[in-house]
Amino acid sequence: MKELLEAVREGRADKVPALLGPLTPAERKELLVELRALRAELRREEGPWGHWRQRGLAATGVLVAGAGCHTGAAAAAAWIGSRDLRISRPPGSPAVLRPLLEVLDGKDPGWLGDVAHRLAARASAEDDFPLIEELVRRAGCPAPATEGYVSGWLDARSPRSGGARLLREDPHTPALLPLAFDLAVLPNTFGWFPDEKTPGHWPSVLAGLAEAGVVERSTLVDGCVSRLLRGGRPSETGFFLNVLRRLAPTPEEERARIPDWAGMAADGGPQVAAHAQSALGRLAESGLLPVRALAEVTGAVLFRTEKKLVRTQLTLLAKVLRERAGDGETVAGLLPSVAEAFGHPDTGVQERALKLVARHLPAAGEELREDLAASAALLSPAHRSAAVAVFGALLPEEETAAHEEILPPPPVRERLPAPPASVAELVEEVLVLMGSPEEAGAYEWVLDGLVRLAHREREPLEAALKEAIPHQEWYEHRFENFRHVHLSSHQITVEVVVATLLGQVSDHALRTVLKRMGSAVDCPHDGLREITTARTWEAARLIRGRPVPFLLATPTWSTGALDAETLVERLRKYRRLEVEPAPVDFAQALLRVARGPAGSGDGTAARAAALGTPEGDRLAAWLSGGAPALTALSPKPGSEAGSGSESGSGSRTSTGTGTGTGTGTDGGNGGAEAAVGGAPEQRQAAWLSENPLTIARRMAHGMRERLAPLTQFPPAFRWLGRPLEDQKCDRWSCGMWESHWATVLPHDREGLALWMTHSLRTSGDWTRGTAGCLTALAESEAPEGPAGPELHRALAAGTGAKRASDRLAAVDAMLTLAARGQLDHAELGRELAHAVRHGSLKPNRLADALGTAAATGAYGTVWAVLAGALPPLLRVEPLPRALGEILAVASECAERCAPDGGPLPGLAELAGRGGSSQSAAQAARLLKVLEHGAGTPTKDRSK
Amino acid sequence: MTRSTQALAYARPSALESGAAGRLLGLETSGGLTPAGAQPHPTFFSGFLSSPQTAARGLLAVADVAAARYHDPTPRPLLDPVVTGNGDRLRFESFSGCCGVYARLDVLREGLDGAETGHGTTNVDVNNPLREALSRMTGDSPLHLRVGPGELAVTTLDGSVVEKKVPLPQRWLRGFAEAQVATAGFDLRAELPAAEAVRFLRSLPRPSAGRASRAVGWVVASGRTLRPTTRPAPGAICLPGPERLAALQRVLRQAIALRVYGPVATDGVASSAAWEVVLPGMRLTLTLSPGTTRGFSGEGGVLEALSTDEAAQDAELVSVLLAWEPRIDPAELAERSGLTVARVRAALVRLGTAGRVGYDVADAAYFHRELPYDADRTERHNPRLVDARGLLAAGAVTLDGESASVASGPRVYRVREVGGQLRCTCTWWADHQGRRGPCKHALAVRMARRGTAAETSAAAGGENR
Repeated sequence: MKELLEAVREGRADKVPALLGPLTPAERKELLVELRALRAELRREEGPWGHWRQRGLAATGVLVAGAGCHTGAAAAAAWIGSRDLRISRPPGSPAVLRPLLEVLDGKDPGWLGDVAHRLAARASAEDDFPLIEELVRRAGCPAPATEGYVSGWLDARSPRSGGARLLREDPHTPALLPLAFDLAVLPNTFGWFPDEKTPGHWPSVLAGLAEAGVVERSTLVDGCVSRLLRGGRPSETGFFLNVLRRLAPTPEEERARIPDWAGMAADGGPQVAAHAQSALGRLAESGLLPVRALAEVTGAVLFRTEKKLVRTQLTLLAKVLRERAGDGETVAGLLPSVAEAFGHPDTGVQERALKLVARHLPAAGEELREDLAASAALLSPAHRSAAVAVFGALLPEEETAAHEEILPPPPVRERLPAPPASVAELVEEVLVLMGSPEEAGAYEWVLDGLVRLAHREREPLEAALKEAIPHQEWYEHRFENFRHVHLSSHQITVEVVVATLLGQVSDHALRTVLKRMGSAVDCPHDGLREITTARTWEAARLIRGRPVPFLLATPTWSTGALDAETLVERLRKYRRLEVEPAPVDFAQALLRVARGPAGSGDGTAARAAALGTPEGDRLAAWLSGGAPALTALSPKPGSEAGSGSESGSGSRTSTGTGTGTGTGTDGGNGGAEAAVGGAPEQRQAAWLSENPLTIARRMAHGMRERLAPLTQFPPAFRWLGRPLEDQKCDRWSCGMWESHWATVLPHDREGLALWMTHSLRTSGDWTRGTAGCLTALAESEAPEGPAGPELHRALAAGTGAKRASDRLAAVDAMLTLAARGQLDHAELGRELAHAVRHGSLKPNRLADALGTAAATGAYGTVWAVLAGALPPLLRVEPLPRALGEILAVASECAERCAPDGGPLPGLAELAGRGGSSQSAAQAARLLKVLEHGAGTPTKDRSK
Repeated sequence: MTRSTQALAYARPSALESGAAGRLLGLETSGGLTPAGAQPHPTFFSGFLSSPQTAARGLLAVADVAAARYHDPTPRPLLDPVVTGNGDRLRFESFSGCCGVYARLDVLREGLDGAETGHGTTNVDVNNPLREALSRMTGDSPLHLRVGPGELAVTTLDGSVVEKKVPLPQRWLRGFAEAQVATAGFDLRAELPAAEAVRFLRSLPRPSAGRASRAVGWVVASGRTLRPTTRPAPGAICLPGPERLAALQRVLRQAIALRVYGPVATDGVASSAAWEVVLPGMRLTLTLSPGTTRGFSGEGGVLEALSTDEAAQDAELVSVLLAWEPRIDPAELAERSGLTVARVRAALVRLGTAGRVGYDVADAAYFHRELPYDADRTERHNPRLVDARGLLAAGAVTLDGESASVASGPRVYRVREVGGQLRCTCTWWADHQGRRGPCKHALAVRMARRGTAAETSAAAGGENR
């Protein structure tokens, strides 16, 4: 016995049977106690058993030896099936199977059968199939019918390894094969060989078994039909469809299963439904399908959205009705089900159904006519005249409720909460902020809170943070080497300030970081991050060196905007307390205050100037038109600007110089703005038409503007003063939108939109959530009147986003802008058309986004956008693929809101092309709506 | 995970039969409580259904949810739906294996052709042949429904022939019971007519390979329809893992309206919501958890109420007075029990967590039903409650006026009360800020404040398997 245990410990399971053989029952009982102890030892994973390989080998020995010692079948099965004894190899693998069968040799067949069935009932049955199969063979008992065993059996009989022959010869096949249809998960091998000609094609193998008479053909047909009726994943239903096709049910077999086909046609996946539909079609054509059943199936199929299924069904009905045209009963039975299609979302389907009903209406009785006419109220207005022609006076009156435009409520900006009252409150929020993706508002609140309390209650704050923040060593490591670690946006958080308070950041680090800021900015996204990073590090340095009572730049509003009056008040307090404003903090504060136009020095500017401090003067200048130009916020001449000019250069000029581009250049010089922002050709025209003196003056002004930020702003901000080379950086981190960005430049959404457009066009490939910028920008601070062209261009880019959630964000932004009265519908339309023409916007995505927007009740808004987009789109050659879908959305909108305005150029030509294309049909529908005339008043309602 | 096994034994499989006398849907029952006590195969109903096809599809939807695991669609046998006879209606309930979707089909008096039902709760057998039969059911020829063996019992009940053994994880039980308590604070937020309901539900993404996405969407009532949006705008209803509404597709064609219920204030974070499809004579309601990977079991919204034994005795008293009412009227119960209405409400919450009452958002009322599982003490074994009792027993809680500190391991956590809510400096609170119930530290502090005897609690904790 000692020797045996030694062999087990060494992992020599192969030696076990020989050593176990001579033992008496009493000795085996004793051995079992030892084995249990060893098993417990293995479970502890200590010493040599720490390594899984060693442990696995020993476990196999324990498994084999124990299997030979147990006398009860239940105990033996539990032992063999236990999870901890099969660490690396299940009992089904040859290295375990051989010795295991050897120790079980000579056991009573009834006992072996019992063990086999017990093992088959366990979750591990599929893995243990080789063992169970052998036990069943030795016991001569029926095969277990458990799911695991059947799966294992099917795997072992895979046609690839000659399974077809094995299946034919296996005596268990007739019992086990039908169970395959009840498996929750199909064996992988079922889908391995999709080609009918390969020997591994399961459907052919199964059909072959039916032909050879091994299994009943009806069993297989029933199995497939049940499974298809029950539904499931497309891969599974696809397999059973293939089996069914290979079995090729006879007309009698199909006829016997009419309710099954009906169920599949109503609820199955598209493929399953199509198969069932064709079976029912054959039955109907040969007159084997009762009218009542056909009517029920038709009602269910016409409720489906798949156009192909619906059309096929209508074709079938047309045929049946034509053949039995005189039969009043058939007509009365079928026409009401055809009328179900009157409410179908596709107007083409409606039209076909209407025509079909019209053809057979003469054979219908009075009551049926009335019912059909009532259903016809569901028809699209496009078919109204046709319906009147069919039903005449029976048709219910058209509902003439005025269209109400439903737009979301305009966003309300919220005040940032009051600063923390206690250390405890602040510490809780610090923990929340550190544990979640940073949100700009929370960041601002916590940063200001840390600065305030570090000034007021330094020691309690430090103590509370020390207690609350685990893993302090981590900070030590991280901030000593902070420059080696890439400080991505998420990591620049208040953690720096917290680490400073905890004494984890070196003075050297605090001194040097700020100096290096701004030197490496080569794209606006980097620049935006740099500003927030600089602000955080500056706050950390202030806390270490000269604590200030509060920060100047903390926004008043959730949009990031800071009220000028608040800033004046803060500066006044600083003066009173003799605190010197920190440069980065003050620069950020300025960017958050709305710049005033030239000469607009109101009371606030005067109060700022009255402070008598340099910062007060700068604020006064900022408020009264003396703010430096932020060149980086304007598009580089000739790069992106004017992308839509081919489609509508006339109106572009007007918006280009209007309030729209008032991004960074509200500096009070409209001319300079045009020089920077306009399209190249316009710019040239402007140069030519002006006199040289003006030009010289503007150049001097431009020089001053470019120099201004360099002298007055800290390094992290200076990139704002130079035109940016690379606004389309392709770095992964720059493709994301960070909520901080909107609060760095809360009054400059045009600039932000400009910087995000490229990211939006490429979003969805490896970034997600980029379109979040659109909703943020749509809700941001903005002057009265329509938003500028860059935001509209960004919106167009977002509309074509790959991900549906991104497109939804674009829709949100569009509706928000519309609700705020800031949407320039025509401009957006032109941008959309331009993007489609240049291939950067997929028309089907445009149709999806606009359809979504329209369905919320904003039909008028979407129509106005489409009215701008359609004329150029209709001129594109060849026509965009999904133009039909776009036209369908347009028709739907026009039907609802009955727009005024002339015909759309190009629409009549397209509609005149005729044919069966979706675009021509929808163009005709739209044309009809527009010609039918506007007139229904439209009410605006913001909800 | 703590789990036990539930063994169900049915006299024979449920089946849909067609005979000379018409169609008969025989739903077999196993185990359950009735006013007459526990019965192996109770009978609740025998009569005709007003809208057979709608009922069949509603039942399929309930069965779909019972079989679903939306975050990880590995098929795994779980429990059969549960049916409750409330006298005037039958309620079929199921809970998804992922603990995130609760489905209930209420067949109202009109749907039962005015017939009365028995009282009690039991499991009903749902098997593949039955599902197929229900799927292929067409036409509205009369359908006789039988829940329970009825009079046939005498001849054929010589031993159970269908046995199912299914694992019963504690979290599943807790989630099932808690899902309804979670809806008790819901209000009607939107109602869509049939056409809009169909359009909206069809616009939702379908599960791919049975799996629902983790996306959290939002919808806002907008005129007669729902406007999808990416952000929690004011008044928005959360729609996390929209694929999980797939079961509603079963009844789209029969839908009369769609009603959405949600919490009054969403606070901009993901929350659960109830989606009710109104059908002729019945209602099908799906309640979704706040995330595809977030089961109801972890929501912990009722932990505070359970942290003390205040409501326990009231609950005992109230439970005696319940008699499978379809709508429980707290005022009437208060009168009968001598408790205040507020205490009755607290007692009902407590009974809800034990699966002994459900909540019907459409009626805005609790109804009596006793889940036929050994779920009685489940909620007491909530890991957070157990941990909190442990902390309390170990003397880790130091009360200090407004604030308190809890020593746990090498760290000390500060717990502070603000506006009735306890805030803590632990990771759980930082992650959820109380939206998924209090953390164990806050619970321990709450217990300490209320002076719950640590000894008895520790004893209860020790019973935990």
